[in-house]
Amino acid sequence: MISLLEIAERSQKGPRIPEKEWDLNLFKKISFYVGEYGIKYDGKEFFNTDETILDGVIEGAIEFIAKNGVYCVTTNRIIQFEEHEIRSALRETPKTVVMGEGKDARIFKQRKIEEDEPLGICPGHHSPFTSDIAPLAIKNFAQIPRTDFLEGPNFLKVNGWEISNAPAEAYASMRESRWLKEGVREAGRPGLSVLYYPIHTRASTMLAGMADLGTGDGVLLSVLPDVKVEHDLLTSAVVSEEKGNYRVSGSFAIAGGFCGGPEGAIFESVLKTIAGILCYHDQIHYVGVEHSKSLSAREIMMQPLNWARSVVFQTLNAKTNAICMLWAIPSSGPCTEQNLWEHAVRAIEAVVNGGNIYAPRHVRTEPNLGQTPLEAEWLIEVSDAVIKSGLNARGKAAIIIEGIIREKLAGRVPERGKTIVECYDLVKHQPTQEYRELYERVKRELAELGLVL
Amino acid sequence: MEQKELFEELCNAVVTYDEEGAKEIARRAVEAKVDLIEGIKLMSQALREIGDKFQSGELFLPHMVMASDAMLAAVHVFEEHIPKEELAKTKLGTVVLGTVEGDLHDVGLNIVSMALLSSGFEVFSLGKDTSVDKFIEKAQQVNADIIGASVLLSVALSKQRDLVDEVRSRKLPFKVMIGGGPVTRQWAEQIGADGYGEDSEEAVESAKKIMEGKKGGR
Repeated sequence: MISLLEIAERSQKGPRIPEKEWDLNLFKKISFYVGEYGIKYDGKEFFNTDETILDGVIEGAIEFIAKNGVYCVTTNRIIQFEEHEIRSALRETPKTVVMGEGKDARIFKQRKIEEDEPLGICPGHHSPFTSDIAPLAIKNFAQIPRTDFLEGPNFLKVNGWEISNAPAEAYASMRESRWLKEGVREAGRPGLSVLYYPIHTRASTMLAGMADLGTGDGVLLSVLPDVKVEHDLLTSAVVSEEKGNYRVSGSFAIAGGFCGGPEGAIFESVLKTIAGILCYHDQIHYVGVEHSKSLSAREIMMQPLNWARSVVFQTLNAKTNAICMLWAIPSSGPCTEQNLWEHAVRAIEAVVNGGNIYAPRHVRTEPNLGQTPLEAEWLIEVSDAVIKSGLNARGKAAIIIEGIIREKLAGRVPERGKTIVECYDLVKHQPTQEYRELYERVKRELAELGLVL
Repeated sequence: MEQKELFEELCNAVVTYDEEGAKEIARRAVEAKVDLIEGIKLMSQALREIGDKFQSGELFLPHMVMASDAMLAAVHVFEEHIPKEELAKTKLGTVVLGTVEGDLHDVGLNIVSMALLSSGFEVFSLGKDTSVDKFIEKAQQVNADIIGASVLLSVALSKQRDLVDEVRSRKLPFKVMIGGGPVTRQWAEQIGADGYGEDSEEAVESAKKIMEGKKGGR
């Protein structure tokens, strides 16, 4: 694996090109590979079953980086790589990460397509909380027995201080990490791994938040859209590596952007995963394909995004060591029927695609309106049921998902949902009666569609 | 060559993303002394068609960028030969856009930028990490009607408020519209923004409403 300091050096010495030129070239080159390898959704199957595509995607992605590099927005230069360096990195990136300590230590690992082992899960937060709620919310998510690691929240204000400058960000960052540590202790899981979520990607803010992390904890260091990296996150990668933290990258792609449509987004997600491994030494990646319309909560979008997502997962799981997570990011907020149905779809997809679950929030969060523990427990319940029922094969799972889409999601509009305090009792660690009744009803209806929990 | 044929070639250059071709045809159009304002209107129509295909998912952001680059290349050639007041009539308004200071996300910004452009606005995009001062400086430089500020990081939301406050306290003539992942209608109202877009379509509608209000003297 090329050292992070060498990555920094290459970012200063590589060829300089304007960012816009990189963006348009990305589209042209991804479009070439989409055509060259015949990556096209045929409209017939829910999950990809054509294994020849996977070779095309991974070889195209490796060739892209070998010929074009990765873009550094700090220096406006290309970080260049030789093909053998890329292949080495993909071989060397670990298939397992040991996280946490003591009885709460976990081995988080790459899953295989259609595997019948239970999924790993990070159930929260990646969304804003008010500082009066945050510590209790953290405890509640840590109380979910299957939590493998827990990501931190972010804040608009902390203890009355608005987080609008670097010193305040550093203060908020330290609070986040300390509240994470306190929250897992209060839950009786002092060794549970926590993942620092960037209050801001400024290096000073990141390092302030990372100061209290132990060797079993992690840092979120995401590759930017359009396969770009930058120096503040690279700085954080250097420090986190010496501290022994693991690193997680958000390597999903947005269809409709500079990558093109869903087929192009497949390539971008794989490219970002490889870029994360090379440039930040990221070890866990939440990957896949989303769309700008669903991310702005305008529509609940399904195919061909589901198919494209399956190609990303299959490629990375079959052709690399990357540890992948499926980002369960519904368009609707907590305590809505659509939220539970969208989560059910993603849980089934995760099992089939070989993904662990990354379940922090829905698309348009507001303070305290990101997620509740019930959604995470629902994801676990649904995914376990898929495995137990022997429905983890592509064809069988597709029948269930298509039923959900047809009966429960088609034509529906995303709903805002409720804040955590409106639908969940954080003191007693249970949903309100309204939310529980909704959950029970959806559970019954899911059984009618063929999946009994 | 007849005006009609020239304009057909020009529109074709826009929809085939031929920037150099658009420039060359624009020069011929100037030499032929055709109605340049009409040319701009027809190119805007062609760009709107690309925009509609982008909204429907048939085309993607790079297509919008390349088509708008082609159109702007032609417009830059025309500009020297059209009185400023006449040129202003071809635009719905002038917008300065950017992602606020400290935020490096620009996917949404790029999409809104293209949507506004294809709807007939003149757009100056400052890109990522744009300070309040930079927004205002550019808006003053280009005599903007609207400043649009995007954000994805929740912690950077306050920068949108800072922008609105600065524009108001200095009694500047710009309207401010906001958008982005963590941005809500309530936040827009709370900080006194003049417009809000939950997505690119709503951003365009909001900008159009602002311009109608401006023309009505509000």
